[in-house]
Amino acid sequence: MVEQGKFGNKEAIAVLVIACMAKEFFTDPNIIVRKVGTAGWYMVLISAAVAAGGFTVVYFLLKRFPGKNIMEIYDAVFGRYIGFVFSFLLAVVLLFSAAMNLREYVEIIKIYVFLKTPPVYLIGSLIVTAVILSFIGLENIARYSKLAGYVMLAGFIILLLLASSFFRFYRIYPLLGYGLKNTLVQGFLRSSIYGEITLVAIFAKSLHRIEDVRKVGYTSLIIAAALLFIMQLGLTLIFTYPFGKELTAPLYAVASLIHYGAFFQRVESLFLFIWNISTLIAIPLLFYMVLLIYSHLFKIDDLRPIIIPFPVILLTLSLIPSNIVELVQFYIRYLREFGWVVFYVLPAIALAMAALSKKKGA
Amino acid sequence: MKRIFSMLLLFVMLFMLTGCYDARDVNDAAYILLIGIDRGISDKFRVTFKFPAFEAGGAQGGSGGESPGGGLSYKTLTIDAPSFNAALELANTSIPRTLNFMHAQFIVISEDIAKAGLVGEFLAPIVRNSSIRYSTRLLIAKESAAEFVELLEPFGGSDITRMCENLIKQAQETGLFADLTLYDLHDCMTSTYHQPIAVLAAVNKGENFIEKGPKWDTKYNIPGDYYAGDVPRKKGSKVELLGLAVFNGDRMVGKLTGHESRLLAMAKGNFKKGTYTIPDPKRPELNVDLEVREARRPDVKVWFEGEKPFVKLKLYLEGDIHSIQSGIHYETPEMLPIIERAFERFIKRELDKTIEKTQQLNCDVFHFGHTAVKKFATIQEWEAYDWNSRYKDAKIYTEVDFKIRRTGTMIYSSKIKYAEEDK
Repeated sequence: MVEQGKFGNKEAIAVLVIACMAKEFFTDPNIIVRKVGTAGWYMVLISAAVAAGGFTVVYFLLKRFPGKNIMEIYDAVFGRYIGFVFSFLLAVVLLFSAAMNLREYVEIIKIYVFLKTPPVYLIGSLIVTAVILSFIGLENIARYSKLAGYVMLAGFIILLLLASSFFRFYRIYPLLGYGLKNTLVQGFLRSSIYGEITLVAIFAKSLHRIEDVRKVGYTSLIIAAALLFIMQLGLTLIFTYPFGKELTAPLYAVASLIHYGAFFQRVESLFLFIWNISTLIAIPLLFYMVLLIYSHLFKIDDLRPIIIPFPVILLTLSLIPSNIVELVQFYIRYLREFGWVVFYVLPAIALAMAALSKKKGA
Repeated sequence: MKRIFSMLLLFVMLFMLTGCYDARDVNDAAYILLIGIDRGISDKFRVTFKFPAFEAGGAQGGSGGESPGGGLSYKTLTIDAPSFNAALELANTSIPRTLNFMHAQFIVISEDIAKAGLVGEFLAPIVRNSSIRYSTRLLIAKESAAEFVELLEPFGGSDITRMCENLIKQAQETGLFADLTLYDLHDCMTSTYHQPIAVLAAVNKGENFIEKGPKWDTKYNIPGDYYAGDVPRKKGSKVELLGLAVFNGDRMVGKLTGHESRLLAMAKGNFKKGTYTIPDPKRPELNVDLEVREARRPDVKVWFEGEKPFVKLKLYLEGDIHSIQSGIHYETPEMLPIIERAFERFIKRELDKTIEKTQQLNCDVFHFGHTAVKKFATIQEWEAYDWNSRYKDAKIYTEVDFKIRRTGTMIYSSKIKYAEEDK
């Protein structure tokens, strides 16, 4: 039997917020500016509202089947075969997300920091970390997230405070960006930026009570939305929308702008710390979730035998995009724009089906 | 088994922690401090790099890092190449160290290139280069950028890095130029809100310093009303920063003097302080010196009548009296407003002239677009209106409010007493 261990709400909140935020440190702010212009700072709040609706569905589903995780609920509602397909789809999206986030991290870090290091070496280093963390288990990942979370939060706030001298409020105008309708549509489509919050449904059993799922989910969503709002607003105030569209990693560019005389500059290392640690938590977490789903699908009691072959799949998937443009404009774009189907719509179908067929947990 | 696996893992980690691929040894790098860009003769661009000298440079450290003069010694290298990256590669064929731009202070572009609209073309590879920071300062050299780079030497015992930092700090002390970086220029070049400016730089050869001739009479010259390189001075540093270059997109279309740059800073709310010398209102052949600073941020209002933009700009300044050459007792509640109104008239007149100059160039360097954009709901509407093209049609009203706060160490001016025969 796969034992995930038990951990508290703070640990769960930390791991989910970091998983949500990690991918936003790369090209996502650029894509948001390209899609909604100056309206990105409140578009993330629209996305959060949609994600809150999506998470509410997930919570009601978990509440209806106490003591079960999402994969077991799918099986209970749809039966073994359709339940298998639903869980499998979730595993595919998570594995693909992990692979694309991994590749995005490597591409960006190659542009800004490790210019000469071969991508396979960087990918390999991260995969080794994911493997080690998978061996030590979810409980340890969550506990480490809490530990790192406070430092990362402090680093993130310091970074934005230092960059605040570049804030110019005219840059948020025109307030409606490319139009309110466009912002609403994009906000809805990109609600999957908070999709990782629903991972709580996979490790629900690691929390103590069903009320904890609600607390963890909403609190993580509120914290992630607040941080994303602050980050996106800060970026909008620093880069005009034509400039913001050009930058590969806007947050890194912000860090490199900070310059307070000859003795206080080059604070990218602070940002690199946040960047690396958050990625080193987010990717192994997604990877571990895939292992959990897979072990459920094929009724594997021990995760260890599949920890070694799965990195090969992760590595292979991460090498699919032929370049950064394809990665950002095709793979990541569609993952972000349609991820909500798997994160929110599949649970909604399951909830509707459970209600219609009057199925309930014990 | 666990122990073997742990040992194996530690062994693998040892190799991962070396950073071998991207390891940068200080002794293998030449840290470029200044980059100069001119139009080339053998190729499209002439690129000049200035870096600490290897044989005595700081890069080697230790006691060998200082030249006999007390400061670090520097070398320059000039290369004709089709682009910045090509120049970089070619430079590496003659210097046995990898050029590194982590510590680049100034990118100096010649006026010739700026006027030809080649700034964007040249900056394109620079802004993509992750080792060149957005905080690097950008200058427009009056004549040759190579000469400017060559002659920019430490002054007063400092090294080039400190010299550059301190030189730029004078922007805040005087307001006669601005502290502008690569980030500012790149941001402005693509901006729909305003047009770019860059700092004017030049080698001052002392040509305007006239050694002999008729002595100055009672004429009045506005302080700082020069372009870089034109200040009548002798000796001191060989280079100077003064005034601003005005761009339309990436093409330099005009220049502002140091005095005009100060007015621009006042209008944008960037003015920290500066000393003004104006004619004494009661004895115009003599001067009054004022140290002026911003009292509060300027008030800018923009409205539209049909398609035509209207702008109202009000400056709030305050200052202290530094000298009254005439000795007239202005330090009374009735007399102080006389100087205040005279200064207000002076600034308004000069500001109107400067605004008119930028309108003739159709370059909103005053950032009125930052207020105008608030009247537009969407980017589509804003871009369709095209503020940068409409700036020349704007009707701009200005107003200046100036208050004297202090009178220096003297609160009363006594008359100078002469013997009867000297009156």
